[in-house]
This record gives sequence, C-alpha cells and structure tokens, in this order.
Amino acid sequence: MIYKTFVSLLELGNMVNQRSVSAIEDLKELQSLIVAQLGRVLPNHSILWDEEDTRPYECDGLSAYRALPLVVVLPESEKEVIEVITLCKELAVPIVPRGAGTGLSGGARPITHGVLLSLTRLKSILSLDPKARLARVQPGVRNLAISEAAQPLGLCYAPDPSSQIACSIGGNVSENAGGVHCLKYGLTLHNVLRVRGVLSSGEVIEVGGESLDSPGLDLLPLIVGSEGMMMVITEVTVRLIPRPSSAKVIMASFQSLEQCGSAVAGIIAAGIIPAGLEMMDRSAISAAEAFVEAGYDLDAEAILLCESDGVEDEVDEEIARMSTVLSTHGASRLQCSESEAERLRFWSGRKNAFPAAGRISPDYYCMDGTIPRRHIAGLLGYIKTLEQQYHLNCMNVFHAGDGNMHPLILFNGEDPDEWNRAESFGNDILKKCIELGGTVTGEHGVGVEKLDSLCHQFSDDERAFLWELKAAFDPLGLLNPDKGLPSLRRCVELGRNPRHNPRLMHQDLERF
Amino acid sequence: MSSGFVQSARAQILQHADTGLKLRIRGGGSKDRLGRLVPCAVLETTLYSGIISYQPDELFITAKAGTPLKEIEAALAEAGQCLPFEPPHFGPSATYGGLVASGLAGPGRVATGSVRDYLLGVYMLDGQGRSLRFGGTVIKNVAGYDVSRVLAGSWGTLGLILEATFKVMPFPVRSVTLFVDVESSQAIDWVNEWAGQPWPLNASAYLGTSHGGRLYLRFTGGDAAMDRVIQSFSSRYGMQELDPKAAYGFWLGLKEQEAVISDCFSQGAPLWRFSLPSTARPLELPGDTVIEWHGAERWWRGEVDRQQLEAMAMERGGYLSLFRPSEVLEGDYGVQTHRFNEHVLAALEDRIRRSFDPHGTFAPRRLL
Repeated sequence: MIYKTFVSLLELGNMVNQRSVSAIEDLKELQSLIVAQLGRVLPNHSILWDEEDTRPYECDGLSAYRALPLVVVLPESEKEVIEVITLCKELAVPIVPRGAGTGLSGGARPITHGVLLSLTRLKSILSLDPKARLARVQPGVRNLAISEAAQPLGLCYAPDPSSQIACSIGGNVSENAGGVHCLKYGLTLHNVLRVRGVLSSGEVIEVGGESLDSPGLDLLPLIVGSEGMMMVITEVTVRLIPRPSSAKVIMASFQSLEQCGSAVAGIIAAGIIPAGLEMMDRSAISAAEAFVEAGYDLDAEAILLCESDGVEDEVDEEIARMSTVLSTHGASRLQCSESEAERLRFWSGRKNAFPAAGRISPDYYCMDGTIPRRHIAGLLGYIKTLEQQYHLNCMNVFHAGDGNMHPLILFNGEDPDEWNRAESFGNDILKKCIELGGTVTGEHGVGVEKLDSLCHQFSDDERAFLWELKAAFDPLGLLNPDKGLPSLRRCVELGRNPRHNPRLMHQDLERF
Repeated sequence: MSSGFVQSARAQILQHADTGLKLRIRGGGSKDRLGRLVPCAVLETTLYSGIISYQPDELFITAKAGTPLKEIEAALAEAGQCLPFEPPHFGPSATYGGLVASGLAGPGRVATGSVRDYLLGVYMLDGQGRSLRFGGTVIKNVAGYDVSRVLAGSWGTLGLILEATFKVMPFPVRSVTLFVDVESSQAIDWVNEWAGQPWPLNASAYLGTSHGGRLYLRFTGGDAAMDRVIQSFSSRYGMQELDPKAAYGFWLGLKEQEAVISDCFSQGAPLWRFSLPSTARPLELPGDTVIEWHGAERWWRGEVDRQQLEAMAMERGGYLSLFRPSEVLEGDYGVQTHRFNEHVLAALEDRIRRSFDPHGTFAPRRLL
C-alpha cells in the first residue's frame, strides 16, 4: 500500500518533470528559480549553474552514464546542507548527493531536472581520539587522509578501496566500500560507529554512537551502502585500528586457473584469514607488468598475492603456513617480499591494474559480481567463452579471498556496437554470478548501472519492500530517486523487451 | 515450494494481522527472562530446525531458526570453526534464530565484531506474510539495502526469521589468558592503550569487588606471538598466565553470566547493563561489577533509583538498559532513550517498523 502511494508520487513527480523537460524554457525557468532561492541562503561561490561549471559534474567514475545537472551546490556546513534540502523539498526538486565522484556504478550521476549536492567542501577531521581509537570526520574527508592523520598515533582506518587517494569517507559510507584488506578487517559498515546526516525532511539524525551498540533498532546497515537514497551524510565517526607492525606478501604463480582457484579455497580451509588475497589472470599480469614493472611472472596463467600482517613473529608463522598450502595446490613459483619496498612493489601492479587496462584499451567496463569462492575458476572459464562470443577481451583482477570478481571488459567507446557488446557481456557475467549463488555487486553499488540486474536479483515482493524502506526515510522520493532500486515498471518492461536475455523473465508478473 | 512450517507460520501471522491480535515469536525460550513479555499468542520456531548448508572453505553456515545453538556450534567446532562473537546461550534450549533476534554477543565481540557484523543474509516472513530473502552467503554484497542486518537485535519485533546465514571464522591456533590485580580506572586505561597497539588482544574482562579487582586479558594467535605476549606482559606488568583449562571455564562462565564468575551475575536484584564509550571513567557504584569489551560494556546488579543510573550512563555518552529484571521491578523494563533528536529518530523507526509489520502484529517492544 505504502509502496503504491510512493510510486504514484514518484510518477507524479516524473510527469511534472517530463512536462518541464519537454520545453527547455521550463527547465531554464526552474534553474533560475533554484539559483535565486539558493542565493538567499548560500554564498554565490557555492552555487554553480553555467554549463561550463556544471559540466565536470556530469558523471562519476562510470563515465558511460552522463547527465548535466540543473544546479550544482557546494555547501560548507551542515546548516547549509539543511538549507539546500529544505529548499529542494519545497520545490519538489530531486537531489543527487556526491562525494569525490570516484564511484563505479553511476550512483552520483546527476538528474537533469535536479540539484547535485557536492559534499567535498565539508572536509575537516573534527576530532581524533587515540585512546578511544575513534575519528570524527566530515563526509568530504578523503579515505587516505584519515589513515595519514592517524599514522603518528600508530593507528589507521582499515577499509582501503583502490581509489583511497581520492575517494571520500561520505562516499565510502554510501557505497559500503571495501578494499584489498576487507577479508580480515571488514567493510565500511564494520568500521563505522556513527553517522550523522540530514533527512529529506530537513531534520538531522544520528545513527549509532561511540559505544558498541545503541538503543532501538540498529539502523546503520540501512544507511551504510544506501547510495545516498536515505539521507545526506554530514558527519561520520570511524573506528581506528592499530597499524600492523609488520606485513609481508607472497606472490604465487600458477599454471592454471583451476589450481589458482583451488589454492584460494585451500588457504581458507586451512584456517588462515590473510590480510589480503588477490588474484590476477594472464592478461592482467601482462598489462600491469608493462605499466609498473612490479616483477610479475609473465609465464604464469594466474598469480595470487597473499598477505599476512600483525606482529612480526605472527607474520612469519603465517607466511610459512600460507607457503605450504600454496605449494600443495601446485604453485609453480613462490616469492615472499623481503622488505617493505618489495612488498609495495608486488602490490603496485595490483593497485594499478585499472589504469593499466586504460593503457591498453580506450575504455574498459569494470564488473563487480561476487560468488562463492569455489566457483572462481568456473566463472573465469565462462568469461573466456564470452570473450569469443562477443569478440571482446576481458582481463581479471580481483579480491579472490572474498570471491569478489572485477572482470574488466575492454572495448572502444567510440564504437557504439562495441559498447553494446560490452554491456551484454557484463550482464551475462552478472546473471552467472546470481546463478552461482552470488550477487551482482560486491562493493561498487547498484547506481544506475545495475538497476536491471536487481530485477533478476530480487523478487517483486522484495523490491516492493525495499521501496517501502526507502519511503520510510524519504517519503517524497527526493534523494537520489533514480538510483539503487529499479521501479516495478522497469522490471516489467525488462521482462517484456528482453534486450539482454532471450528468455522471458518473471513470467509470474502481471503484464500491463 | 515452502514447507509446512512456513505455510502454517504465514497463516498464523495473517490471521493475527487480520484480527489485530499480537503474536510473540519464540525460539527455545532461553532468553524469556530478558525484557518485557506481554501475554499474547506465541509462534514457536523450534519445529523449524536443521542446518541447510555449511561449507567450511566458504566460511559460512546457513540454518533454520529453530536449530539448537549448541548443534550449530558443534558442527562448526568439528571443522575447527566458530562464531567469533561468542553468543551467550543462557540455557540449553537457545536457538540459532534467537541468537539473531537477541543480537547478544560475548567477550570476543570487542575485537572481532558483532552479531550484525557476521550476519550475511536472512530468509524471513514479514507482517504481511511475504517471504523475503535479503543478503546471501557471500561476504561482500551491496545489492539492495542491507535489510538482514537490521534484524540482529530486533527481538522478534520486525518479522519471523526463518533462516539465517552467518560468516564463520577459524578457531585461533592458540589462546592465552593473563591476569593481574588492579584498580578499575587503571584497568580501563591500560586495556584501551593496549587495544591501540598491535597486540593480538581478543578480549578483556575486569571483575571488581568492594575490595579491589582483577583484570583478565585473552590473546589469540600463533605460538611465537603468544610466547612473546606472555613474556612482555609478565615482565612489564607482572601479569600471570591462567592455566588453559581454567581460562576456558572462565570465559565460558563470563559469557553465560554464571554467578561463580561474579556476584554481579547472581539472582535477586536486577542486572543493569551500561553500554558506554570504552574509555568512559569508572561508574561510582558500590559492590561487584563486571567490565567487558575494553570498558564498552559494564554490568552492575542492585536495587537503586533508575534515574541515577541513567544519569551516569548519559554523562559518559552511553546508555543504560535493565538487562535482567527482578520480580520487584516488574513493569519497568527496557531502555529510556535520550538520543539526539529523539522524536525524529523515533518517528523514523516507527515508519521502518511499519514497513516490516504494518499491522503491528509482532509482539511489542522488549528491550527496545
């Protein structure tokens, strides 16, 4: 019932907006109205509307999906955030919150008749308490800046997405970002204690606290990973952990993907939780090696990077146990980092795999499916057959320990047919991930990119329920309303016009 | 095809939703003494029992809600694995579903994470009888909102948890327990300092009496690391090692709140729980106290003006709950919430509850 009311409100909004969009003058008028009203509460330098100024905000890290926002707002305080939201509520204008714009699923793609709310100017570390091991920061603080500030205290912030130099903590919370160390140290959700933010009503709430639990329902899981659809984050309290005093990484070569896949399962089965367990296939190895000369084994079919961290004796013990397991599973070469410089060199290839792909191909499309570990080799084999089917190359570099795959489909965006093939290639991989008992997105989020995939991942009831939760936070559907969740109609239409899937999906659905 | 249990549970939920009557979900009843129980019909989960899938090398277990918790833990132990947050049983009848619904965790929680942290997915019936699956068996999953984790600690007030999947972890290679006699403020100070250093510290407990107190630390890891810990902490702080068998009994007794561990856990007067920032200064309370989670969880038993205790919790940036009431305090359960913008948060919670349970069928608030 709530769901239906909500959807009809959304559709009403869309109708109004579509009518406006139909005439560019209307859109211009709306823009002038927003700019004039915002001008009363925010300084001029915080409001951008000239195309030349708003163009840089037309997409996030997934540049295939673009839209020009009507207005970009850069508030400098929570009070200004409240002003912007209150105004948008009055004008029924949708808001797309944006952090550093490094997201990989189009979660911060603007809405042409909406406001883009950038939180990059809220970038202070408000407090850092070494004794309680907590940092209170504003959403625009960069992920790495937290660890850098904590370093002199012997502490760090554990989640380390590969974009950590640039990505912001607000964005990390919105996407529940992971990183290479999350097998051992958890995702953003596991490292955040409290989030403060503004609801679309303009009211401020705080969820969580500085103790380990809070009274009432635990709402943090509904905020972390909600892709800016529940509230606009204005402050985050994160947990800091001691910096491990020692870390070493083993680089293991394998002559087959199957052996490499079974070694991953073998490590876990032996009761070892590595600090990082990353896999790269032959094409990723050669692209990365050509880019950074990390010293990778070019004869290997696949390599594993297997890291141990902690106190020194513990690391040595664990490295010995890991080496035994890797050898048992047929590793053809094992190299353990002898120094911190060598450890960083071994990682440099993995950390630079995405730009390395950018060097050998005009564009790449990065997938994010997660599967049970035992299916890793099988999925890689399936991807090989898809390469032939779509006449596109794909390189694989991923978080093997979590079963979180990042196939990079290489294509040339200048050629629309190649992009179409890349998209279909990606969709086939994601459907396979669901089939194998996994999920379409492990850490990059749904954004706009995987809306269709969620029609496959969830039933009608489940999607309706998710919309009801969205409505509980944001009854008018103002916050990032076109992301994260597909509308019922979209899923029905996807079933009716199966562009990517020859089989008719959701035969149980009512057809309009 | 849903099982007979699921069908009859759905029918029961819908019937109660129609008539506006309340329904209380109950596993083995091991936690009946915690929180407020309102007289109403009971939906028992114990008939829906069994492990559905356990794959040690995938680090997850999926089981039905009514499965005895001891059966789950035995299956995990056989493969050298465990639920590292150490859920208390509070009796032999504890179930797997009850563990999710209560969200209670033992000593290991401070270093390894909470019930919610390890919960990967659920299969549930909501207040409209809809069967819903959220999450899954993989560790990383950001498709849709993270609904399953909201059920941890929801005390059966949102929906019927039918099945749940947890991430599991290997048992540590070795575990060492050290102790030293010390004042509570020094203990809180030390343990927070050590937690900020790269020691493999897994749990801490401080048992205070009117004459003083003793701090226990548990470290986990490989042999060389453990030997170094023993050497460092005994030479620097005069700590002694507790023999492994006694240590096992100690942490088990602490988790189960046995009276032999501390008089704080004896029957009679009500047991209060303080959830505080770990570095909060000691509570000014007489008699026995137990401090866990490096100071973030503190227990005290006694008859005292509730408002006085609440003020102590609030002053320290945390909150108080009446964990186990006495007969005397009947009717004065749960938590008084004094959160930031309480009315806004409470209204939001209400709307979320209505998404799960629009007719308000599931039994009213217990500890919440």
